[in-house]
Formats: sequence, C-alpha cells, structure tokens
Amino acid sequence: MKLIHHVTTTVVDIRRETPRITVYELADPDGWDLPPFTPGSHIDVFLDDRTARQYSLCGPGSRPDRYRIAVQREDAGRGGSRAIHEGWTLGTIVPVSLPRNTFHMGDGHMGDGAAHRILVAGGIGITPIIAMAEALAGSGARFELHYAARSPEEAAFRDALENGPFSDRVTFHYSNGHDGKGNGGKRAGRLDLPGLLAAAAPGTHTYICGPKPMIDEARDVAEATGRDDIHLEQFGAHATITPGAETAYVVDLARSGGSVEVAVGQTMLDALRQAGVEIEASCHAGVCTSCKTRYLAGSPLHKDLVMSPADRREFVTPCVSEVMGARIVLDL
Amino acid sequence: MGAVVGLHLAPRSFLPMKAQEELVLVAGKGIVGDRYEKGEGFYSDRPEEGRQVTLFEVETLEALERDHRIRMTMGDHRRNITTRDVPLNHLVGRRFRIGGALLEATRLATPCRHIEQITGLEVFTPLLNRSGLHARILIGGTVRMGDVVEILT
Repeated sequence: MKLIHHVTTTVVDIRRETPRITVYELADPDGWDLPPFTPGSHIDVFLDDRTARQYSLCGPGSRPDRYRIAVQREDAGRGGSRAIHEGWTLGTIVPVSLPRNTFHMGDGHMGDGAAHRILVAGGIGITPIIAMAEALAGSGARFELHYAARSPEEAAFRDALENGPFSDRVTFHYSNGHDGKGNGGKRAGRLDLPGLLAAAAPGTHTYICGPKPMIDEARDVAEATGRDDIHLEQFGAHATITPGAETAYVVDLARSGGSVEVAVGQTMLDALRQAGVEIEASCHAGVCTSCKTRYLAGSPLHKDLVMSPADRREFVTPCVSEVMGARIVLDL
Repeated sequence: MGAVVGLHLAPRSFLPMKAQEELVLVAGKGIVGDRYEKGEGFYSDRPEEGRQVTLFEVETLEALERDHRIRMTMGDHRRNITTRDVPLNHLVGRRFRIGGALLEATRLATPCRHIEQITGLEVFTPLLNRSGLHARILIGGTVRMGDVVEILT
C-alpha cells in the first residue's frame, strides 16, 4: 500500500471506553494539522491493501491535528474491529481517507436553519452524534441528545455526556432497566423514538445514528408523514461516494492471467491498484492519459476528455472510463 | 514588477498547506520540509526532475471568484509560491530569479482531481491552462514574502 495515496496518521492515544469500545486518537506523524472535517463525517481506515473500514469522527472539534474514532469490537464481524483492537498500539501507522460527510447538518456546517435539533444515538451510533453535540454546544445552538444503550457500562463517552458542558441536554435510555445513577444527564426508560419524533416542534431537525432497527423505525415515521427534517445514518453502512462504475464488471489481465472485479462505485484504476497492479495515474480525470492502457477485448465506455477516436479503439483510461458489458481484457 | 505574495508547504500528501514567511530552496532538489522534497507527495511515485518547485498566479484565484464564484485561498491551490504580476505561462523554458534562488521554468502544471477531492470544490475545468508553473532549482536560496521575481532570459 502506498502511504502517499492516503492520509498518513499514527496512533497517539488509546483509551478503553467500555469493555467492547476503544477510542483511538490519530495524528499526523509530525503533528501537522489534518485535513478538516465537519460534524457527522467519517473516514475510511485502511487495514491492508484490500481492507477498509469506515468510522465516524467523534471529534475532537477543538484539535485540528487529531482524528478521534471509537471502535467497537465485533467478534462475529468481518474481522476489522478485532484487527484494530488486537493490532493497534501507540505509534502504529494508520492510512486513512479524506473525511467524507454523508450525515451533515444541512448544506454544510449547521446549514439546516433549524431552530432546535434532536440528536439520537443508539449504541456505537453515538460516534458522529457526539461530534455534532460538541459543535452545537460550541456555537450556542439549541439541541437535546438522546442516547440509547444497553447499560451504563456499555455507553461510550459517558463521562463527557454526564459531566461535560452539555450534560443538561443529555437523556440516557438504558434498555436493561438500569437507572444508571450518575453525575449528570437525565435518565428515562426505553427510548420511544416514534413518540419523540411526533412530539418534535415545527422547525426541529432530528439526526439519528444507530443500528438497523432504530433506523428502520425512524424511516417508517419519515415515510408515513412525508417529513424531510429527519436525517438518518445507519452505522456500518457508509456509501462510498467516489465516482466509478454504475454496474460491476470484471477486468481480465491478459499478460499476468489474473482477474479483478470492479465493484459499483469503484473506478477501474482503484480496483486494479487494490489488487496490487502497478499502474500510473496523475490527473484522475481523463486528461493527462498517464493511466492509458491497451485493451484487447470488450467495449470501454470512454470518459476521457482527450483521446482521438483512433486511440479509443485501442486504449482505455482506467481512472475515469467504465465498461459496457460484464468484462474487459486489458493488456496488463 | 512581479513579486511573491504567498509561500506554502505541507510535509505529506493531503495535509493542509500552511503559510510560511520564507521557503528554503535546495538546488536540484526541492523545498526544505515540503512533501515533494521528502518524497511524500501524492505524486512522489512519479518523480519529475523539472518539478522541484511550483508557482501559481494570485490573479487566477481572483478570476475564479469573479467568473465562477469559486473561493480558493492561496493554501488551497497547493502550489508553493503564489505570485502577483508575473505572467507565469510565458516563462516556460526561461530562467528567473526569485529571492536568493535561480529557477528555470520547465512546463505548465496541469490541474488534477486530487485538488477537488481535498477542497471539495469543482475547480478542475476552470483551472485548465492556468494551473501554475513547474520549475527546477538551478541555484538554491531563501525566498521570502515580497521578494521580486526577475525574469532573466
């Protein structure tokens, strides 16, 4: 994996938050400011050439030189969280992507114009929500935060939520019936999400991040009422929003004999590089033709801006071009 | 006479460029502390001898705002030296002094999608043919804010 094609970070702090959740702080190796992010953003964390996992940035908004992520160990999962929990130590080099925001508060930072905001987190879904709460509290905006967790022991960031500057706006909903007597924040019974949404005053925007049942419940309300002030993010389901294939296809490599699958949303160039194929590229826009590659069979959907018809009969630019049909054979 | 109005560097790919009061140019290499001198730039896997330092016209930023309502700062365009009143596109193949350094312009820069990824702005097309200048460093030296650009040959 080429570090220069990623944001290179190093683990500078590790804190066990709950028995299953560990918080990691990432920084540039020289302490330089990292690419900025808005509340609700996530990053891809690259575990190796072929494996990336998405984690929301939980802050800290006050440190432009840090990314904080909370990783919940899923022993029955695909292995990413386990690899992080077992493998990362102080100083581990972690390549990540630029932050992306698919869960932002309106068009840009707090651009929804809401008079009041309800933030709802279920379990590890607290990760983008706490970044939003911190930003809203910092700007003096009105909000309330509802956090549904199984028990106080399994609630991440409990200290910040109970004792931090916005603890008076936090309500904990513990599903095991625990009253969770703590220092700050209110306690309520099991979260009644449809009730909460129905009671929201006009001008309120609601941001919800949690497991599938919680998101489904909120989506049902949004669809039944036609409301557009309910914003959802199901964790573990970030869409990759890079330009790329609209349908999946396979690239066969004539010289080396391999095959590479290009997934929906992926570019041919990314798929080839992830499979370890060395391929030059520069503009990533179909202009410089650094990545121009001969094809032997199949029909490219050319999206470059510069090649002549004659060139296009022979070459394809994997950085932007796609394929009509299921396969293409490249002279690689 | 044209002069330097911005100096920026970053130690690694993707990182925000930070404004500097001066840059130290090393002949045949690059800028001390910058990603391309360290081999840690996004394009460092395609090294190019004539790309040791990059320049950009502040007038292009003004035109982007005037004509396209795109606001970019001198840190956003990701070139090292921002100039005013220097016709950079005319300098290809020519030598010029800037502060204590002597540079030779090698080719025009081309825009890249990388900058759109980082800035979140659709600037690729508006930057075609005015995306700055690449140069090699013939004599190293320090370049400071306000230094005059003296075109030699």
